[in-house]
Amino acid sequence: MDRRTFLKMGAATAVGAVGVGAAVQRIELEAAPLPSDEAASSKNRWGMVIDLDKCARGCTSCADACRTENNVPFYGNPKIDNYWIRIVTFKDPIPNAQERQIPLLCNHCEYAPCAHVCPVAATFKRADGVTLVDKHRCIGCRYCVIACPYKARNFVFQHTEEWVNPDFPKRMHGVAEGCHLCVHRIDRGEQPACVQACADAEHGAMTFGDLKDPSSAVAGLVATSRAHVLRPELGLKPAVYYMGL
Amino acid sequence: MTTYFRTIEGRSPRYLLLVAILALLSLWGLWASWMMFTRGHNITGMNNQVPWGLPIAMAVYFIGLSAGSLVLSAIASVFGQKQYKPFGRIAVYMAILLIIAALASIILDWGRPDRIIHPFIYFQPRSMFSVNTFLYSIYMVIGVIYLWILFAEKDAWVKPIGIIAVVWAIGVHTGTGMIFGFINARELFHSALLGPSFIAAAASSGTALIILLLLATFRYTERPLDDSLIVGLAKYLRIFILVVMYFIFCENVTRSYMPALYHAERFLLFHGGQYPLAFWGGLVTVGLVIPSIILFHPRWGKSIPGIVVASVMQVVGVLAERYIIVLPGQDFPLENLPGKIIVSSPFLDGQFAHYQVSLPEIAQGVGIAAMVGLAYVIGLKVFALLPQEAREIEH
Amino acid sequence: MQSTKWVIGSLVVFGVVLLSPFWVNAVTGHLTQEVKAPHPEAARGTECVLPEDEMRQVHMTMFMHTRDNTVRSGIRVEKTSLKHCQTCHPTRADFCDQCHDFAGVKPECWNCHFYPEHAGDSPKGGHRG
Repeated sequence: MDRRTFLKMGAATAVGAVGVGAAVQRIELEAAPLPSDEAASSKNRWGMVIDLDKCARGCTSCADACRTENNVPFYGNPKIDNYWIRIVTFKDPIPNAQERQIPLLCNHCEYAPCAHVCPVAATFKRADGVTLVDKHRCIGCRYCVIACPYKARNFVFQHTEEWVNPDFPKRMHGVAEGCHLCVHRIDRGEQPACVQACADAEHGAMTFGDLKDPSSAVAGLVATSRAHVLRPELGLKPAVYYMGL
Repeated sequence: MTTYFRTIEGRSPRYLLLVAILALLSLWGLWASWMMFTRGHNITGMNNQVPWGLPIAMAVYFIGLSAGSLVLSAIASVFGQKQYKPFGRIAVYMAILLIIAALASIILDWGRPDRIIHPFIYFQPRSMFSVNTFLYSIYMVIGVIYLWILFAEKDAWVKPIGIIAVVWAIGVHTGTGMIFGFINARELFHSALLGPSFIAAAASSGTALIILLLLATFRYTERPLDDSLIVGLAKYLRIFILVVMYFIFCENVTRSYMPALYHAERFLLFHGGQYPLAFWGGLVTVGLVIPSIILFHPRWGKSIPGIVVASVMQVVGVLAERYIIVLPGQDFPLENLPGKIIVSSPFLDGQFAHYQVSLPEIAQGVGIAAMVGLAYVIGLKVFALLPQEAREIEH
Repeated sequence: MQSTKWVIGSLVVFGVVLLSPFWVNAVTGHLTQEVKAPHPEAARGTECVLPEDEMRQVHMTMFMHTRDNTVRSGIRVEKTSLKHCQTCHPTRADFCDQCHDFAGVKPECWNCHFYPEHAGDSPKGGHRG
């Protein structure tokens, strides 16, 4: 190979790498930042597709990242530890079934039972489909914790002084909480902490985006009909889909 | 025949001792509530698997007793059984006290009871809790108006307010049952029968409580009470007990019929430890079967000791029933991955919760009941609640 | 009925409870304690979000509206955020607490939201708001 060819190949490789990097970047940063002064709107519906075949056994990056990002209370007592996303190990009811794992989190249902039962609308659906808790309003009645079919709701049972992430509030006991799709991040145009952690850990099992945008990756995956929701018979229309279940 | 109502003296050592004991128990309960508010609910048996414990079971129990008391005064005014008129004031007074007790049980169980104004200003028609806030508050106001009408002896208004009170009580109870009945996330909650069965158990437990209260009050104040009046009330009680039996039967047989609910129903009836004990022992045997046998027996059902035993058992049995409504549905693991076997989860998915009632919860329940007792006992002295005598009307 | 003594007794108890701020503080010696006037630190920066007098009057409702807009609608305006306040008023002890301690009005914001009490405070440990 002469030098010119080598240089040409090198340049092509460099351009290709930047191109692929840019393409990967473009898929990663699908959420656009919400401009200041503008409210979240129903022309978006944020959702997620989780590919269980890519979810690595023993990996808990998503759960760990969520805990540190959102200051989720942890006391070392499984009865009152809060989990906004957790890894559950399961297997199919067949002989010699292999153990697999699934991240379970709030599904941000369209007909969210938690939002229906909250007496003060502290748990509510934002216009763009995110289910979140207004902790200033929550009276701590725990009806939402009872009503969630996915066991995605928590109650803060005990005071904690832990404050891992200074850019996010910590908790006072007595209010309910759950995954809020990292609204503080998605409004800035970033990914939820769990999705980002999964991408950083090079598994890429979680894809986040706008379900109402036909060109988004999540809409594409849902359209393949290989992505399914949990407990579809309840008719809640969740925004979190699973592949490989 | 006019009934003369008279306050009690309230100066005997026995009376003062009773007041002192009830006051101490009330303080104990309030202290437990304060601990829950300041330290957080981790001091109780409640956790992320079982968010509602004894306080909610006590709350729905008090609501039931309240409506049952109201039914008794309605028997006199709405259904024309004038021989029960002397008991009207006590019945309505107890109805008011018990709904306040229910509201106290609920509000003191919230994580943030200091935000008590929020359910009133952020009304959510879709939430049964929110609708109930509205229903219970107005029920209390209706009770107070009813009591005022009785005290002012505006006889023409008694029937209309009695009808309003009974209709509203049916609304209150249906609403309470629906808190649980509407939740289709949990197999042991979701049931259309919970509203009606609540009303039935409310009528039976409330009547039993009033029977016991009347007997004790007239005995200790040494005022005459015709046994035939209590026997008459016991006749209503035994019908209410049959209705409760019917609803419990229908509900459990329906659930047992669905293969998807076999596990949950077997947990409730056979495997669940404290729950089958509460169901078969507390509700069925103590609450329904033995009182029915006693009250339908030709001799025992007409004797005061028999009626007392049956009423005590009813009151205990319905508390067991409220426990059965609230707890097993949470203890049984949520089926959030249907068709899969859950091997392990740090959030205890798929595991039985093994709820154990804790001392602060018991203290709060006892304390609130003691406050009702205290308000009743002091009420007898301050208001003319108790008739001079209660006799069967001579025809 | 001998209600006179009950009425007078109740009025006495009520009076005692009503006047409790005075006699409790007298007993604990706080009544004659010196009270320092509030001295909020001068702000860094040139201009506040609103004129000073207006800010003093409306900052509570401003926070509440901002809070509802942000949480419930997702409207995040940097100018009215808590973080932005800290650019000109870096510590709570020298600014917010000066007037709030004097007036005895304790907002519960700091139970969850981070606003350093003193310079160099980190969210971990230290004095809970």
